[in-house]
Amino acid sequence: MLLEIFIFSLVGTALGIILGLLPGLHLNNVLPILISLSFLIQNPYYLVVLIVATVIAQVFTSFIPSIFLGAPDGDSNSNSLSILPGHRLLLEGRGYEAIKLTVIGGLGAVMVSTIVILLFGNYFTVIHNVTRPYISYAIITVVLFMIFSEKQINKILLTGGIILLSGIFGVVTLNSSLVQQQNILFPVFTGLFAISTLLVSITEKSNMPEQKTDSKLGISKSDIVKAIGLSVVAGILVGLLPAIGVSQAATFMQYLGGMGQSRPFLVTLSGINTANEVVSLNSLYLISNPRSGASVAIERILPQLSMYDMLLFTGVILFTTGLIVPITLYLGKTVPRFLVKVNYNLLSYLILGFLVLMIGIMTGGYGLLIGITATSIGVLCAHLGVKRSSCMGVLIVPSVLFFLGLNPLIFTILNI
Amino acid sequence: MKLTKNFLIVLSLIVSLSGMIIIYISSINLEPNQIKISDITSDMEGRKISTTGYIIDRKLNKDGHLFLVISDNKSAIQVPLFSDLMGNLKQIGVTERDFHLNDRISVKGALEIYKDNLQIVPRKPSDVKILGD
Repeated sequence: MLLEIFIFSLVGTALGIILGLLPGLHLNNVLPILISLSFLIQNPYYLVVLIVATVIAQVFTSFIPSIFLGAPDGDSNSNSLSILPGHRLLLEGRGYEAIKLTVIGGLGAVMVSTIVILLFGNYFTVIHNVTRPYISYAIITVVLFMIFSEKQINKILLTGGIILLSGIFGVVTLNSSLVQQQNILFPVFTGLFAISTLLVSITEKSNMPEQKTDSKLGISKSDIVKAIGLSVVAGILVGLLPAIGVSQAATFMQYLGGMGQSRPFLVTLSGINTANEVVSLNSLYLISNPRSGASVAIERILPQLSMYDMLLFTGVILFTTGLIVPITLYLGKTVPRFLVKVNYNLLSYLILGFLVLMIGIMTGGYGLLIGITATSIGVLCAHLGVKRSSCMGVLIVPSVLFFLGLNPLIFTILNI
Repeated sequence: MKLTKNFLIVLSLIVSLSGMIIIYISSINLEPNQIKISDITSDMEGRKISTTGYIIDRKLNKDGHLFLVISDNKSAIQVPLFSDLMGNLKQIGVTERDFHLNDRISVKGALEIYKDNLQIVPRKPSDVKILGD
């Protein structure tokens, strides 16, 4: 059994690398296929190990297309916000540094969140129950902070306007049933962050400069430690609490933790992403509630979990992390060497076309309509000079309405 | 026509507002499929559907959520009425006491899968109608 566990971990790692590098794809897209093939695998633990390894490998490698190509993965809520700071560093010739920062954030978060879960996992149910009633107040506080942290009155008004516009878009779109719920975020986030960034890049005729692959990091060790600490706390809350996603948590940390600069933000975002996945995978045992597509799949395969199952997950997570860190760093050096030889504008057009095609295939005509609308909001935000994280109003406003119990009233007024 | 920054700002604002209006109009005119409970399958997950059935089980939990199970004599499906919806129903004079076993109700909502069970989740008071015995 031990040998098979290592083999399935390696297979999962390879699958995670492929899914991570392909824009628009995520483990959630292939889980139904994996579960349907479970009859071929005698021991259900092997399939679970494969899923766990895939999740972790994908979390690390998904930042490569989002930074180098401006294209998020299929679970756009997890890394869409990395597109802008990553793109900024890419255009400075520091794309490898951007990848390295995400790897540092992810590795640090795996180590710290593993220790936290092993030591304090028994208290997670308490944290879950205590914090849940106050989520709406925390979100409202952060929204006010996002608006009033701007120093000029016109920026305050514009930021509030974008949050409101994206919020209304979120309320109408996410509750519309025009597109299946499990796919709705793809056109929304791809439009808001990826396509809009690509369009702005194309119109500004950006060229990808020669990428430096030195070991310099433009961030202090103390900022790295702070970013990892904040990201683990945020990632644990995201992993435990409903309706709070990685992008929203990253937005909160950006304002509350002073992690707004590109470099600390990339460490934080990657850390939250990874800590969230670690907690979500263990959430079945910790709070008896699956919190991600992968943990829902694991619950179907292994309905009853013990502490030793959780230890197995932890071991696979650590083993996979140990493999994927050097692989991601290697890819982070190799991919730009190839990209620099390519016409970047042409590549941007190709990625744009690919993303539009993926939206069309996954979500149909209505998805394209949603994608176009989202893109126009993202472009508007970029041209107004408002922070792109303001577009997170698309999830933040519906979350506030949900936690304040206002949804039925809103649905009645809007008749949706 | 020059593609100045102001022009792009105005254009993107017009496109975003137009898009939202079209999305809204499409959603309110999209009637959910009327379907028998026995014809509901898991590949319809995420779609808005409408069905009728008899209440064969009802449970009220301590947080105020009312969990119903309705059936068309061939199949059954869960219908969770969460506390915020129950609160809104109360405002129009409908409480948990109005839902009796064997009552026929019509339900509209998104089809979801929760712990391997299909459920229709109504979102507003008009999504749930008690039709009688």
